Amino acid sequence: MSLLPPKEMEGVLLVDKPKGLTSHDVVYHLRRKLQIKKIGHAGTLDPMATGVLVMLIGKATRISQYLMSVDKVYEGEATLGVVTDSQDAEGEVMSTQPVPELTAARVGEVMKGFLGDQYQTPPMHSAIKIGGVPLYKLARKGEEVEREPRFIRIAAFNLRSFATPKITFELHCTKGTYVRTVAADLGQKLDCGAHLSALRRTGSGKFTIDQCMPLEQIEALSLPEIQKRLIPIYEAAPSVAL
Amino acid sequence: MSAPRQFADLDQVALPPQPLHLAIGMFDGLHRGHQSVINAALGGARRNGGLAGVLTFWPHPSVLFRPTAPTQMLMSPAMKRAVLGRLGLDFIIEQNFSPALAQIAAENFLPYLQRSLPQLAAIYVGENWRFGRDRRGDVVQLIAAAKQVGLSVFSAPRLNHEGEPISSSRIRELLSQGEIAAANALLGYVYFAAGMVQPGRQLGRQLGFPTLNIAWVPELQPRLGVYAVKVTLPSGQVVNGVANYGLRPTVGLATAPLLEVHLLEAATADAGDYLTVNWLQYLRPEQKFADVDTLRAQIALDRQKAMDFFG
Repeated sequence: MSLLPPKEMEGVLLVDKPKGLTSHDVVYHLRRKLQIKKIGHAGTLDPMATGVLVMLIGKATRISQYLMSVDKVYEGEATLGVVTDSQDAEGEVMSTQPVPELTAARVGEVMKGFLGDQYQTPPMHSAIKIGGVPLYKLARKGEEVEREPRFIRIAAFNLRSFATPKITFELHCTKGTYVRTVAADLGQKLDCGAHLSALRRTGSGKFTIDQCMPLEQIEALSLPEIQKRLIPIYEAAPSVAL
Repeated sequence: MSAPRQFADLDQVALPPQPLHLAIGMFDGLHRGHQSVINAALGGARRNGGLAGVLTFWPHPSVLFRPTAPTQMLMSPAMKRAVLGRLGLDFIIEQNFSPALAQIAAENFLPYLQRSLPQLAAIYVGENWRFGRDRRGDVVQLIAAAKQVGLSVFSAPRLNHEGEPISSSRIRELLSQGEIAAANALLGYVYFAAGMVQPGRQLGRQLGFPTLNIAWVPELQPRLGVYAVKVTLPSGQVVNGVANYGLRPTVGLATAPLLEVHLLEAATADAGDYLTVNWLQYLRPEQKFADVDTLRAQIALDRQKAMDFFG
């Protein structure tokens, strides 16, 4: 029997976020389950999105900067012909347009044009603050303000399947890339508009979806079982902390 | 892995009709930062289908703009070709950096490339890369220009080593200070000299330490002195050695530094053989000795030091 006080839980917990919860909801759930206040996450997922959510427990919150800045991989679905104000399925439909005759080859060709370094203008429906006010608050009031385009890089944008009006794709991109903006831009390039109708994050840096456990299952585990799933900080931090 | 196809000019490029993923830069030294740019091009070609290549230039632009004090290159074109050859590229273009090329305005650079390379799909550069007349073009401009003409751009961030950016000029400095191990860490491979064995004057043999004299005249001279090296013989055999790079002040013969290698193992090479000398460790600076006997004693010490290094 060790005389040392029980070690406080710390490390990275990889969660497969369910649809419908905000990333912060996941923090609440884990706080309740683990009875620890210091819990954060590295890289927000929108409520409609599922997949890799890197949760930081205890002292691991300190490496959030490192873990947030890594590249991400997504699987998504865009619905052509329907444009929404938020660029995803949560928003109000702004316009509908007929989808032109398209082949998978043509769609793939247009998707190639998205590769590389570029500047992306964040959507009005985003949590970015201008003058201390989140953009989405302004957007709800029907206001549109000028946003600073941000540097992003798309390393891969591959067509998975195409059956009008749905396109499923895989996207490898840098942090801070708005996938719904990519989907909306793709719709524009295909002359009919589009919105992002489903999104699943399958990778965040070196972490992949196979390593993640659905939140529900984690909540059903005992604390020692959860402890066993924690990735130590030194393993989770990038190999070269510059 | 087949050898990359070589082209001496953009106008001479003839490649199968596949999308081209092109890394562009001087790439002097082909250090880890350069390698990350080139690896991005290799990865892009692999992921998206197509050919990966490098567009590099000779001479260094400073030869045009600062003819009296041009930048001293870490690599001769042949040395660069040798390292590029082992990266797995499909093609290499060694473009002459001519006054006409230097006059191309930044906004005309991509159309100029596309004229010679109509299948160009993506270009890969370091984030600090500059292009066009007076180095006016930067990566921000490149991204905007590429969008106009339907090209992708990938800029690789600068890499750091021990908190400082990896750069060719930092490696030049390390080499001229004899910091060979640090230079090798930045290069991501072992610094080497390659050249033909020259008939010598048998001075080493008379001293009891036969040496191979290698014809090698680098622009950037590493610090003069004695190094622990590994020598690759024409047969592919690799043998440990101790090298002197210097003016041989004790015997007072050379006006330009010479590279001489004494092999620590039983192996020989003949005049005319092409050797590669890989520099691993700096042992001591070059020094003038009072007489040949002191020199002989020192060489014996150097030999022992090198053997200790190799363990």
